[in-house]
Amino acid sequence: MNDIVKLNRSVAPEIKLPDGILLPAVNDIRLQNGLSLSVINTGTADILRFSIVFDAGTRYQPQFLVAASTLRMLAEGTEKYKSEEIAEQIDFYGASVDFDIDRDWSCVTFYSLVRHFEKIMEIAEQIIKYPVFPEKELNIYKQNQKQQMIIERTKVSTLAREAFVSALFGKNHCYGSFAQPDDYDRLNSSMLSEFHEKYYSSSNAFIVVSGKISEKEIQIISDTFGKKTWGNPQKAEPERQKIVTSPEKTVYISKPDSVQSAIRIGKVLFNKNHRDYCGMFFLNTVLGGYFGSRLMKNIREEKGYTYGIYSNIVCMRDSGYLTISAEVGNEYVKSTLEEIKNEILRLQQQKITKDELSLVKNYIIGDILRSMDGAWKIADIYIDVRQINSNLKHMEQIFDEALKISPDRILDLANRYLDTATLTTIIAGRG
Amino acid sequence: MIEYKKFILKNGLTLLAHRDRSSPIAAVNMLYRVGARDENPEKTGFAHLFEHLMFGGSKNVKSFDGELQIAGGENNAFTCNDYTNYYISLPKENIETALWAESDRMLYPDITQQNIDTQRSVVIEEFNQRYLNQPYGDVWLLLRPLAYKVHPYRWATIGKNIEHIKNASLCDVERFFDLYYSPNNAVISIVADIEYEKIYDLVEKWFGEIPRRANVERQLPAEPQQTELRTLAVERNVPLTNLYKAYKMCNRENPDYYVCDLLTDVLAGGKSSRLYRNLVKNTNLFAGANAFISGDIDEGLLTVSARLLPDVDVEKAEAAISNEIEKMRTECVCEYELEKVKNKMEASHIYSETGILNKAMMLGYYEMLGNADLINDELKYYRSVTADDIMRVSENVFSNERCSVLYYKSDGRNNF
Repeated sequence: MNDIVKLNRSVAPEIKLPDGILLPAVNDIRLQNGLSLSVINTGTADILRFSIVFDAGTRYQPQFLVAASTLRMLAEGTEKYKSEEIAEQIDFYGASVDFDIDRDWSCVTFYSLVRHFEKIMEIAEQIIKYPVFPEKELNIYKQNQKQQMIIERTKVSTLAREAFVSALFGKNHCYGSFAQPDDYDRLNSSMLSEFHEKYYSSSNAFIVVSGKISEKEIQIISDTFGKKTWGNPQKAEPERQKIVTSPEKTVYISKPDSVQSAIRIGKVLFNKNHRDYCGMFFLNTVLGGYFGSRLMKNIREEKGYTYGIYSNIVCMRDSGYLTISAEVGNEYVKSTLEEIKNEILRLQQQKITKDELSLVKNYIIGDILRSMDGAWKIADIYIDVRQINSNLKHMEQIFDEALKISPDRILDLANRYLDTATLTTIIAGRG
Repeated sequence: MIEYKKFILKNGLTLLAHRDRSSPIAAVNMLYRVGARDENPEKTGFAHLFEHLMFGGSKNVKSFDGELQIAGGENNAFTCNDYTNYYISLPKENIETALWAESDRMLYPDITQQNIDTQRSVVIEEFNQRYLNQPYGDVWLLLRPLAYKVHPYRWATIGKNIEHIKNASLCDVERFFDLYYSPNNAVISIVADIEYEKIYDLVEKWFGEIPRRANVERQLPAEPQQTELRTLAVERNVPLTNLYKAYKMCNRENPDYYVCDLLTDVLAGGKSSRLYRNLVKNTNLFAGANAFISGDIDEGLLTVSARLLPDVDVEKAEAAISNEIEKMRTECVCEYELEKVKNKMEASHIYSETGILNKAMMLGYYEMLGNADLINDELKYYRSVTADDIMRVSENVFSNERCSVLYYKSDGRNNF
């Protein structure tokens, strides 16, 4: 076929990468009651997204499942509307609502057409300020969620994830504990009302809107949530708990009928404000943070032990951790663990080559640009950085660190943070 | 509304381009009109395995992923029963890297035996992870061969069984490539802040010289009309019994496709839908319920599924579902309810137009269906569906003779 082809394909096209990022403009507005409203106007289509974030994650709950259940029951009945009426209106106006919760934060997000935004905000106000947590709805919720959790806990990945955080932080720590299905039986309506009263207030929240936004939408939000203060005036004070990492470095969880085993390896690190966060973000990308990573290349693309292996730096408000995760054939567990260890040792002993360094730099730069593609994604990123009292400049820091990081610094970070004797390993499966 | 331009190169490659001025990223989507339905029944799972092999490098691009990552890009792919879709996103300045790599593997893929051996192993682990080691993971491995007896939709894209994947050979790979991976069997769609002429010139530059090959002659065996209720009961180590009722429905071209889509929304679109409201909330029999269409090009499936609470009598649960289905057949949906599902459909269509990669994929998909204009016109077809249509199609689709029922039962071991 060579004769047909005239173009010289053996030389790769030239590559250009931006030396800076153009951050989307964020307009921060302080509403009359002190509530912060951030507006990200990226409007092409006539749609927008409204997110309100509360300091109301699971760390604040007096017993298991109260925080998540409070959040997920918000739309199940309010002073003015029944559960069915809320569902009916949200569906009729082509809107949708998501509820997200983690250890530190909870978030209610509405997606709406611009032309129905006023109506959706009226429902949002009811849901957020005046939920009543009807016992009948709560019982249905408890029953179904409990079953969902039972199903989730048949997965080796779930078992490994739970055991992992518990080993890292201690099972009584707010970052290491996890609920059991029976905990649903101990919930009642008044617990949720109490939790709502304490944490869902204008002084314990911030709002981020993105999409096509004009003065009119800002006015609607301001009228709905920004005039008088509402809810408990006291801001939530997170309690700092002592991290108690289990001395047991390898934990097996037996699940005899499983075809594969789930592996989790990692250790406690730090949150995003730490001076080494950006460096560790880079190091993690090299190790297992993208499809071309060392772990993926070695364990999937060379050995074929797994469909996928990744490493991640997970950050919470007061801490963070490294996690390497994969599901592998039972017969490959031992070899996979060895290869993971080899890859970590390689990071500690050999400097990264120029080629790999520039590849990862370029990949991260592209990834940062990708992460800000479209109104929804920008809002996600912005919420993330707001939670560490930062702004989109944080993305610039990652970008700049990626541009200037050296092989020596990577070697140094690998030695400082990835001592294999300090890592915890969890294996859930037939093992 | 997505404005786009369509070009067809001399070698038959179809190009769709859309200019999005809001993003620094370019999306390049390459769709090949080949899927699991084109497989030899004795060698199933091959289209998907082949997709994995396409990342093994080509004559001038030793590492496909690596070259794109150097250019700040990311890429992946998926295989369905009807088509295989490869996608790349990268800073728009580097769009040529994407075109270089994508065209080189259309011209000279370099698939080695070692490559096949590793990817076979990866795909077997994928099979294990996604189908065998997940609760309810094998549902479609059971339902497809129950609902289809002749048509290749009777197997899932992952394949009928692991043996088929284990037996794949280099010879199969070459044959498959020659048959299906030609420019005239592909659609490339590009969304970027780049002028249309420039996009065309670049695609012409990198793909124009790739020779056209024989057109794909597709003669798939038609599924004979189902004339009897089919049932299958299995027991698995899962906490709850699930029930699936899969009904034969029309193909993607038929205007009733839109009616089927909306009628499943009446049943299960959102928390105000009938199944959620009447069954999940008001009977104490179900932990969840759903209704959805498969969206296939050839005659597809409209499935109603439900998850039973512990110790619920299966017959009683099935009767409750049948009751809701019967109402669809015998009572007209009211205008309000119809308006609601149409509004929802319209909104989700608009929401899906954010993000350049989404748009590129949608353009390719609609072009594969026959006409990329559908991306903008489809809402009209949804809007024109009437309450009578819903009842007429319900009456037709919801017939026991064209239904396959899977009882996916908890074996009651309860070791959870």
